[in-house]
Amino acid sequence: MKTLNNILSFLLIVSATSCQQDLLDKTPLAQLSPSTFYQNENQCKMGLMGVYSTLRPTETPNFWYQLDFMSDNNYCQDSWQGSKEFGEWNQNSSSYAAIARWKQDYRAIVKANMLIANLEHATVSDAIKKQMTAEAKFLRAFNYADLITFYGDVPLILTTQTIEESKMPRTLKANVLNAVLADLDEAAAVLPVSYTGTNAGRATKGAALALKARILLYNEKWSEAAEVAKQVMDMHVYSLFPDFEGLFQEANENNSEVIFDIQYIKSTSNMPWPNAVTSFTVWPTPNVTLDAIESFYMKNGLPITDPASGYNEQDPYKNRDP
Amino acid sequence: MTRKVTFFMLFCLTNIVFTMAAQAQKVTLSTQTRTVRQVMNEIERQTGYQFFYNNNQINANRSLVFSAKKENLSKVLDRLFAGTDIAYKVVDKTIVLTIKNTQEQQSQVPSTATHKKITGRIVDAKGDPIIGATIREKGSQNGTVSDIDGNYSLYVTNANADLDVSYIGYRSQTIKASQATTIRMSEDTESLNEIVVVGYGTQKKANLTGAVSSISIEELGNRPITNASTMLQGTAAGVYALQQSGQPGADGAVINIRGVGTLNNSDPLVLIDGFPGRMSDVDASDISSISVLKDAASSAIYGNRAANGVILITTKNGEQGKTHVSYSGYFGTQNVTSLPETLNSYEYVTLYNEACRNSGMAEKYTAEQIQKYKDGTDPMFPSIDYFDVYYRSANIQNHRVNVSGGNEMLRYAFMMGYLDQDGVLVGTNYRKSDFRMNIDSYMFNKKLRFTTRLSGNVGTKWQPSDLWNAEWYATNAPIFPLKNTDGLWMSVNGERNYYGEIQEGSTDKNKRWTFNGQVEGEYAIFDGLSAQVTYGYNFEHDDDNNFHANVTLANADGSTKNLVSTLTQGSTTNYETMLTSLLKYNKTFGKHTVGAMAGYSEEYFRWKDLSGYRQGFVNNSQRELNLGDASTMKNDTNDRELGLQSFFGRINYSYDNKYLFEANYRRDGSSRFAKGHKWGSFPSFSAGWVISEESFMKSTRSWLDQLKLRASWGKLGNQNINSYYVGSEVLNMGYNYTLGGVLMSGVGIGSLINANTSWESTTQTNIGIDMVAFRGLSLTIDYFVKNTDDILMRTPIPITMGNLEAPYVNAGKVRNTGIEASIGYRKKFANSVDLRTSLNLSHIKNEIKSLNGASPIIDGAKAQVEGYAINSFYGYIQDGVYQIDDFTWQNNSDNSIPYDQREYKLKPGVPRVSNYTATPGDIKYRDLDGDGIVTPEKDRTITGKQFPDLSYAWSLNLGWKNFDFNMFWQGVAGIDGYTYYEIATCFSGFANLGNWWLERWTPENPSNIRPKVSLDTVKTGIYSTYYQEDASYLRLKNIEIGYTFDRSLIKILGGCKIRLYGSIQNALTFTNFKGFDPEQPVGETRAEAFPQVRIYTVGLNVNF
Repeated sequence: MKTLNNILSFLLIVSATSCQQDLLDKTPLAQLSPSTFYQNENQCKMGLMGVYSTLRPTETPNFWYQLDFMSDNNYCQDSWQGSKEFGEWNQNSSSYAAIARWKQDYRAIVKANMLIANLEHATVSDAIKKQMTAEAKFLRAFNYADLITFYGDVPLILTTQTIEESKMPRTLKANVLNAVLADLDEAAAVLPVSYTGTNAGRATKGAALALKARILLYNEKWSEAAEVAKQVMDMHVYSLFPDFEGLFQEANENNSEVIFDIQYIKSTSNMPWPNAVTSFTVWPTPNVTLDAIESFYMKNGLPITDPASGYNEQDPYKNRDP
Repeated sequence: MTRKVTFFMLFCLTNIVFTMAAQAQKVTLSTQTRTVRQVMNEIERQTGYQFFYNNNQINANRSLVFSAKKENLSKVLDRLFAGTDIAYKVVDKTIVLTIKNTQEQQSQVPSTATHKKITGRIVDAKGDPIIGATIREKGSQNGTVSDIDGNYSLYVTNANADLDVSYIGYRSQTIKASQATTIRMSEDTESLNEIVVVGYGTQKKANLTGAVSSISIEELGNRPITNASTMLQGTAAGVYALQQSGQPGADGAVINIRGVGTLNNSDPLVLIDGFPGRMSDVDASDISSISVLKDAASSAIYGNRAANGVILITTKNGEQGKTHVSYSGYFGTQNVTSLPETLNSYEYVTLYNEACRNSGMAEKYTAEQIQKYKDGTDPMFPSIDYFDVYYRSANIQNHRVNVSGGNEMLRYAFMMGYLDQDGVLVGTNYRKSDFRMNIDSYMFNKKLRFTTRLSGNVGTKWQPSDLWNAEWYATNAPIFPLKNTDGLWMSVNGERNYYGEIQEGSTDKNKRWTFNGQVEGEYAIFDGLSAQVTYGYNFEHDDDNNFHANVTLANADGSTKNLVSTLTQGSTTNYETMLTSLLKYNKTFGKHTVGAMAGYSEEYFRWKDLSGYRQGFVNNSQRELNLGDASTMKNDTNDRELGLQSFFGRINYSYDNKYLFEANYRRDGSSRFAKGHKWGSFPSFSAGWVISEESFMKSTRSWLDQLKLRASWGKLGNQNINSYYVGSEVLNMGYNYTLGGVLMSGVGIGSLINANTSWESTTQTNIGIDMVAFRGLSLTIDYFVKNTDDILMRTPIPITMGNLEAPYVNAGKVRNTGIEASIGYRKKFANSVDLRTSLNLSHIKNEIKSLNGASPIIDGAKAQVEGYAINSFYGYIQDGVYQIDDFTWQNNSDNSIPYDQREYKLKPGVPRVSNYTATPGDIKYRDLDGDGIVTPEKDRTITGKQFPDLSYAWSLNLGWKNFDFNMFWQGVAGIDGYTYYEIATCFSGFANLGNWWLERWTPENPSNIRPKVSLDTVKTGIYSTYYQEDASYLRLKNIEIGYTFDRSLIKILGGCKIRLYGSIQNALTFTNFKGFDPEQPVGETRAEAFPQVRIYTVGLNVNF
């Protein structure tokens, strides 16, 4: 009898321990599901910030000063991360710099496309949808403008894609440009002229128009470019900042000269290299050329090569602008 | 079996004969008809004493009516054996039954005078008596058994009669009666009787049908093993173990069983007493056995995580009988095995100026500076060997205490230890305390076994906060001063000074606690059928404190640089639960033996991380987050979980120990995969044929002890990939942006998913042969083909998908084929030399069969390419160096023009290099496609591989009287290594150069191996065979000599058995690999590997 009890209790233990019901049914604990997100304005704004975050370059060849390597203004002496190759116009399709820019732009475009698609079903007011869609389209246009400038024909993707759909050819540059202009027109129509407080830094009507003017200019559509540039000027929002040096100081962020710029905070969200921690002094990768210095005009508005400018080689920085 | 032998050796040694305790033991038996055996079983159960007797001598099946009521044990025994020829003696807790000598003599005193009485003594190799050995006159029933002192006497028919002497665990022998005064028996150590731990049980090696290697713990000697995983290096054929580094607390080996079968995690499943764990969490000396399950059929029973093979570790447990207490400890010192010879400052700056000239740049160092470096008197112009700055000799000590024992109802073992190991790199140290406790208890007439296993450790590991950088700066050029004349640490080229920072407190303290508990019950339901349930819990917590001290560094230009203090504190908590239920059935019917098992298992894993960061600390000594600047704080968490569930079954059948068969089937589920793809089914079969048991093999039995053929086929699943939710779409946090000076949370997609991903599968076919001959020679050969299909890999997707991480797809295919052999030999010679030696060899070919169109996947110097081994080296092939003869120059190659003023043009037919314009002294690469130009697209190829063609090991153990000697050689052949960038590449970063650069190309020394020195990183940075070397090596992994103090001394020391030994680990290395140690971590192509260490130790083992 005792033995029987033992057996029974043992079998009871065995059966009680088996089969935890949801053992194989696991969903991410520290990540969000797209199907349950975009429920309110705050969540939609988090999605929008995700698109803005792509403005910050993460790879060396996309850092602001690197483009100067391609010009006469700067010389790169170090082959670190493709900079030299880039500066010497020696890139091919497998070059680090060529891939880095391609990645950065499409990362932004796909995030914008996803947000636009998700906003359609989001449970927020139409006004919010419209505003955020316009910002996403501005950012999409910003990146396509960059792409056609550097690569010419590029695949034009305006919706979310499956892996199968992604295997597509390049679209003619002219068609991509039209898409850029359409996005910017929509953005300019919807976006406000300016923001205040903790919205400063978002895309504005002026930003959309100014970008439009620039991409028209780059594509040699002179009269249209001039016309759109005039629209920006006629907004009477922007003016030159009086202090050239101060333009680059943190205190003067988002000043009157700024139409659109990438936002940073010193310690928690700092600028990529070179920044406060590492500088060009430590790593003398870029070298400013004399050519760059000489391209600054005199205060009288004349280039230093003009005999009338009053430029004195022995005192080269006197009466220079700035 | 082995257990009994040791047990007996033990009590022979202690020489304790009668104990009065037997008088005190009380026995109660109800009146009943029983066999003698039943009575003895009952006595064993009630008293914890154990009977020991020879079945052939004692008729235990005799029935009798017997009862006892709280009677003394000796009285009960007296009555039980009254009127028989059985005598008993109580030895310690064992009751030894023998045949009464007097009676025997009486019965055997022959009537004729032709019979002769012989007497003798039976002893083991050490001269200790063997009790209960059988001595029988050949071809008759006339025989006897040795008594407690090993003595026997027997009447034989004539003085020249042959006597068969046998005893379980010892080799039987036939001896002439006239020579039978002292019969020395040697232990039967050949592998026929070896017991091997297999999935959920043990099996005689003779009956195995799969490919299982068991590692001989004793052959490993006492080498200072700080990480148990290194025990596998060279000890089992087909198992490749590569020690990653010599860093204390991180010196584990990467283990590949039968090649790397997957592009994902290829680590084998390690089970410590049945619970998945890390080998580093079990101390080497706590291990009683290691089995490596290599083929799919053997590991099938652990299926869902067993595709890379299984390592079964069983820790020690108590034995019935006397309590053992032992101490073992060693002290040692460690040195780096091998570091490159580098340049001094004078050589360095001279070559640097030469490189400047070669690169068309102005010389960097003036003649005056060069002279200062040569003189070495100015502290700002030093010549420092930075390897000597960062590496040192370091001490190690280890102490362990083991206590074990037990009786009939309870067996226990407690083990605890302490390790303190300094590292050879400055700022490194590891201290670990650990314990382990195994308890088996038996209840309800031994029907229920209840086992508890508890173990845990706490380890504190110190290392530089920037370990990689410290290893990097150890390669620094000799010209950088460590400190300036004001005593400030100097920055290297305006950057850092990791040595100085470490001295100021930039260290990482990592403290890790683990605890593992298991309870297991096994109940014998009825004859042959038992049920077993195991529940286990593993907990790990890890606290990391990574501090960068506030340090002011002086720059060469006189300015200073302040490094702000920062602290990252992180903690991870991982836990795992496991439940296994088994129903087992085993039964023998005549010649048929049947076994069956059904099981269920589930495992749950959880990994939680939490980390915080601040900078600007109050001081460099209080490393707590809340003492940092609040405005700089950041924090982060992560949390993941995984569930696994399996149903499985196994059937064994054997006929007459001749034909063996086993089949496994399992269904495995994983939470990683999406609904509908969670489950996979994996069968396996194996069979064996013991040819030597066949009647037609009778003629070979005199020398051939066993010959067995084995074959197996099986399929296993793997889901161990670097993603926990391959089927769930996710948005990640962290895509933050700043607006109006405030950081805003952002979310975004980071990766694509493929809900159709499911198990990758590994199918393995194995054919093997086992042979045992001459009682001491064993040979095992296995051939296998292991195909991994549907490998979970991320095949590239267009960047236009948003530069997202590609989803996993079941795409790749990898094949490993190999042959492995191990040979062992053991012999005890008459001159008391005890020899054991073993050799194992394995050859494995690893080949990527398919990458689903993604081949080649290039990653720096390595690539995955179809048709080649995983992680092969990839690049150009060096084809010498461009010589002056390869060029023409101005004025019809006028020789009077100085070398550096010539405008060199390559002669037609000499291949160009696409990346740069070649000049004399540059490396020439092979133009594979013959188009005259060397391009990355067409002329890069697989140049070498990181897996050896052959890995081999040889061990030799010699014992002679009180001395023991052990030597263990291990080697690999046909493997390549890579040394790139620091030291190897010309003037990379701030690194020094290896002294082989002194043989650089110059017009006067037109080397065809070393190029000229250059500062052009486009030229020097190209991956090619120039940086690749043959990394084959043969290494004396351990050499050890020991002495055990003999018994006369033992008496003085109070009965302790003491062994003293000395050993050297990594004593000698033969290799052509220059510079660093040839044993490089897989994937390491630069100099930042923690070096391997040579360890000199002296140690002491004491058995109380």
